[in-house]
Amino acid sequence: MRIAVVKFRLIIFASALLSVQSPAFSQALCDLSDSEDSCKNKVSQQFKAPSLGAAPSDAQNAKDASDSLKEFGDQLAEKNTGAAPAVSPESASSFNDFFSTLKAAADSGSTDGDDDQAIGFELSRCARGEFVPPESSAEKPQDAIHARIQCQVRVRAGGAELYDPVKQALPADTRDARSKALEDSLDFGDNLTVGVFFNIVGTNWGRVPNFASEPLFADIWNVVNQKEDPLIRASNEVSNVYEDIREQISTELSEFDANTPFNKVAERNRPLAQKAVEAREKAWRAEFESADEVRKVLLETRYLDLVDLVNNQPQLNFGVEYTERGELAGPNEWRAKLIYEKGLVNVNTARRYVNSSKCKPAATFDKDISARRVACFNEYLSRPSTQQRLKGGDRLAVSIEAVRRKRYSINLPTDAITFAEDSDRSFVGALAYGFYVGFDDAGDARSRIDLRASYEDVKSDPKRQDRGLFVATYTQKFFEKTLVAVSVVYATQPEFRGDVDKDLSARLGINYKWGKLGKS
Amino acid sequence: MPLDIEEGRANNVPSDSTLVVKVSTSSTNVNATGRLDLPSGSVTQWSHGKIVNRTLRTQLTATGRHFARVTVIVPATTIQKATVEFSIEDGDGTTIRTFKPEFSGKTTGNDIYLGRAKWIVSVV
Repeated sequence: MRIAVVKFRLIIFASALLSVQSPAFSQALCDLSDSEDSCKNKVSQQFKAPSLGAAPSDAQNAKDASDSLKEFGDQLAEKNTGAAPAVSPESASSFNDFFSTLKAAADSGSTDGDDDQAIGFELSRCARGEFVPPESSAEKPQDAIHARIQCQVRVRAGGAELYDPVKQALPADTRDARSKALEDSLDFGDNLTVGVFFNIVGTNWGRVPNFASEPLFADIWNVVNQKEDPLIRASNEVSNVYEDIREQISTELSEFDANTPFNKVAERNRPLAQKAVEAREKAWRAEFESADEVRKVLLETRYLDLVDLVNNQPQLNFGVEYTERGELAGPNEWRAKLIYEKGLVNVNTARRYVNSSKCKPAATFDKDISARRVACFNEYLSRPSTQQRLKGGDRLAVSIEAVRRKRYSINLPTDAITFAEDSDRSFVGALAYGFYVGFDDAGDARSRIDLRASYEDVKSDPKRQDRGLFVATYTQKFFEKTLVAVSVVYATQPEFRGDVDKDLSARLGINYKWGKLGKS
Repeated sequence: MPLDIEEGRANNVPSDSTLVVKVSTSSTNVNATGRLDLPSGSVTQWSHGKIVNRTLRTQLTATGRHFARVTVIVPATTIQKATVEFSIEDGDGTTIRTFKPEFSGKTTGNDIYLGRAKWIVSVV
């Protein structure tokens, strides 16, 4: 008997709890002291959290894991690259996130990374930034243009430093003092860079979400619209009721607006004010319920995951820039860079799966093609192989960079030195592939493997001429800021292997890094 | 606030006026769609490609209440902005009513920011 009473009490408690949590069971919130706006605020409080108790998605987990390692990766790339190759760390390691157009410009910069005193100017839309199909094809994604070129012009001035070989050529006993004096004489005009960068965006390329043309977005919205429709119609009905009342109020209180308390109406017509408050709350509630349904369906259909997959789309960036330097700041140079990057699970692979015969959703959808395709998209994201690659953040990068430095000479009579360098050229091609391999209980990435094969031909550096190099790096993160990174280095020719921490053979060596990360 | 609804109304709009809709966004990371519910119950959907950075015009031939809605979604984790511009042009093309709500938000955790502009237009 006692057990039955306890059970009954539990049921009552659970029911009460449900009625509090679910907006559908909520009590009246608004009263005569409220205005339209304050009533809205009260109702909106009940729709703060999505009504769907969705767990973080795989793509979101992968993104979080990626973010947690981002700072770690940036610093690691810097440490691991050691004697820096001609290419920037982005193409030396696939550790880093893909380039946005802006970042492409920044990373293609020919300065040494210290832009603190530089002033930059960027024109990012010399072509239209967003990929939008022509009006006539907006409803027919298959007719849309497949790709277009987005471009960016960048001008940067300042941040000039004394050219290091010149600094080293100064007499040792006066080097520090003279370097400082010479650097103080540098101004903005001593380092001027102008560059133009191109990026392909379109159906299959680039990190721009093609809301207007991507069929998967259209499918999700078709599903959203279907599910939202009855709620919108219900909202219209209750809105009509309130609008009729509101018209009556306006005849009695012409100054009535969204901030007028219904008390003001009650002073003239209390029954009307009471009806108005009730109708207003119902109308707000109906509108929020329909908006909440949209949010819920978007989460159910994994809309956020689809947006995240955009970040894995193939990217092809090409940039050319010219740097004009003052006499003390070093030689003038041309630099050109081509980068191709992609994640192995992206919108293209999802679209291909959805359109293939591989998809066999459990439910039947009759003629509802969009619902079927959305189910297929969910199926694709749920596949173990997809999840593994999403979690691993597998990324591939290919880069080619060519640099041509002009002949350089300087005469410093005060220091009794004349310094000259012939014109120089370098060429570096690299293929990099990286992925996370270990995660902690919270799902944060702890370890990663990066593989990089490169061909380098740097005319002025004997150790990097006609050199093939393969580097495999395993990185393990301990605690929050500590890492151990071990790299196996293999060179095609013994004399070109370069310095390593431990020799295994003439062509093979090991580098290892250990230390704390962070600026402190 | 993850759900943000802004409501406006235009009363006594003359028949055969034109409803104009345009959405401006701070970045390509903002999605927007909409719909127009006519007094008859029929619905016209507005896709992202039709209203974002474009001006869409619809002639209001029926009398009665029209409900125009634009829903803005920000899937990005950084704050993005969107401005929805509703207006009514009379037969001469003169703007006689406007409603221009602005939205600003970002996705947090696993939730999506959703802003909605609802304009109730009563055509007489």
